[in-house]
Amino acid sequence: MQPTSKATSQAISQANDPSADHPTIVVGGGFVGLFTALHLSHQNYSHPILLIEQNDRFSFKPLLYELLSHELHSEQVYPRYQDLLAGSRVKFVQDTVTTIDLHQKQITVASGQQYDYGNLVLALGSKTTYFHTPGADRHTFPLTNGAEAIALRRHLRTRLHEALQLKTCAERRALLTVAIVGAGPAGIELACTLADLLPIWYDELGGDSHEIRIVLVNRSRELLKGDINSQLRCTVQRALKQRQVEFLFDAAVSEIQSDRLHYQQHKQDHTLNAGTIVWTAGTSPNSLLMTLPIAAENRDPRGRLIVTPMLQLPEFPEVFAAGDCAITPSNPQPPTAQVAYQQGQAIAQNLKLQTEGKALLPVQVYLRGTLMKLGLNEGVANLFNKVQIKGQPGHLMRQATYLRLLPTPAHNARITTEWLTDELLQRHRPFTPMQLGQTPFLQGMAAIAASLILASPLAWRAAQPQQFQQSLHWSGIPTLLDQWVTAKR
Amino acid sequence: MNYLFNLRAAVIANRITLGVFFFFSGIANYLNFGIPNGFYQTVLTQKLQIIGPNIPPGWEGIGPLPALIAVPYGWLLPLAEIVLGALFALNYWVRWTGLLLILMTFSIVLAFGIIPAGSLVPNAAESFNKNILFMTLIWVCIAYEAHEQKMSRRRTRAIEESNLMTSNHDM
Repeated sequence: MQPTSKATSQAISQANDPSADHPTIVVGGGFVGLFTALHLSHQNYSHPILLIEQNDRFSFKPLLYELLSHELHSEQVYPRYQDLLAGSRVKFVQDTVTTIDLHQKQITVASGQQYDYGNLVLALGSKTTYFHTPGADRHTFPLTNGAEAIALRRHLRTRLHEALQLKTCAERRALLTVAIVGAGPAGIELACTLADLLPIWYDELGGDSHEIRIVLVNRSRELLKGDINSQLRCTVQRALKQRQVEFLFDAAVSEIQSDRLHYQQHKQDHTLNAGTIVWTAGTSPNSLLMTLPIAAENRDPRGRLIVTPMLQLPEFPEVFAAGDCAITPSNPQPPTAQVAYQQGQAIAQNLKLQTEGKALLPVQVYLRGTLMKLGLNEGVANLFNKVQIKGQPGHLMRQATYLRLLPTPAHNARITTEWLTDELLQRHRPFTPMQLGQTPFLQGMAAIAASLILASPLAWRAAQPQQFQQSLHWSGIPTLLDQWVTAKR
Repeated sequence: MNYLFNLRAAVIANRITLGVFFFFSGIANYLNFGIPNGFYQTVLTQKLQIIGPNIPPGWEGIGPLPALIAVPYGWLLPLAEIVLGALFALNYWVRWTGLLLILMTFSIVLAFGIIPAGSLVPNAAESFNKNILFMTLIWVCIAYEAHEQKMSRRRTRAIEESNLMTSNHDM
């Protein structure tokens, strides 16, 4: 695909712009924002890079369930920006952006500080929306970042302890009921994870794990309606059924109180008593987007910004936007980590081209399939929408794919090594395969393979000592083994 | 302190110790495979003691094993020790790896005798073949795993029964 002549002229005019001395500011430290900043730093971008984000830690959203269950720890999937950006040219500012003046090319943050920019990257992401449901914002737990995952874990542990103090089964069951509103990918992944996890936790505390209930509440009758994962519906249904997750379909939530959820089903009012209510029902673009002077025809009905194939705002070519807050009408992409990662990389590349006065390139996003967590040690990988890899192999593939996307090579290598050794040696696990009723098939095979690899040269040495000596002399291994044997004698 | 009195922790420590012992024993057997009076020569020439030397008269000195059995046994035993030791230590298929380790250990007991010194009260010699202790310890690990699996199945069944009894009106 050839770049447009409009883009070329924009790039040249940008190169002559005196404001080009100003820093490039990235607003929002999600996947798009962080990866844009890191890629800019790696490619020796000539302008200062400023990343403004209100949180001090980066939330690796697809692996929040692992953070909740303790399968992975905070440093792995909820690292500090300061650690991630150490050694890079990115300056990190922890603050909340209050206003963006696109005409003056100026940003104001909550602390009152103002920043002028040459280029701006809008990576504001999305926020949870409650559709004006009374009590939903106060009495439900969202799950969109690491802090929320940790808060939900603490709440669930508290509920389990509280339930142990109660005398009647009915009281305990109410407290141990977890209602998850929304049957999209987030709701389903959470339901499967909790259905595996909570019985183990409660059992360890000495409770009866059969008193735990997980209820999935959904407005329609369909799971994963309109989602990129909709092809996985049958697999997902089987996983939920296997875990005895209860469904409340066609249920419109009308009000939420601290310990109960009111809903309408088939025009009748019902109440579900639940000690924990999690909201995964929807997101909306960041409210800051609504304050931007962008014409209505350059927004979609949800308020997201319409961007060019180069991810620029049509009216402000020095501003790039991607992720959950932007949409390319000619080539809409699902709000997934792999898309955001590629968009961040592409924005960095285009910013560099713009600085060099070259024509920008349209963004090409390659979708290699989808991944879902369907419980502890279980997942499904839908490769190129053709092949489904389920169960433990699916879980390993999902985990390995996401860990590969972790920011910065050093962090990535360290965490992947940690995870691999933890998986193979089954250490730092919050549960055993036996507690899940699973056989560690892959790890067992890996242990057999490793043992055979280790034993092969030893058997070779025993069978053909001369040949072994000659063939591996260069490596020093024969001498080492000889010395060892001599020392032992 | 509670951790020291925890049955699960004790069994895990026991299992890992045994697995690591067999793992390194296999490596050592390959390293000392062909040396004079080394592992392979012992397997080919060792006469089965069964109970021990001189007890009872006429039982000692059976064998050695025919080459058809002794050669593959000699070559595969260290490999089996490495693979099964690793699997046992890492808690993979403990029931089956443990059973094979018991059979392997039993064959070693047969080779060197239950009372290798020939007396239960010898002077500065091994009175009792330590491999017998290995067999009983492996048995403990296997039994514990079977017990844990039984408990896990009971929990699953309880959940299923509970869900069957749950009616929708209590929502």
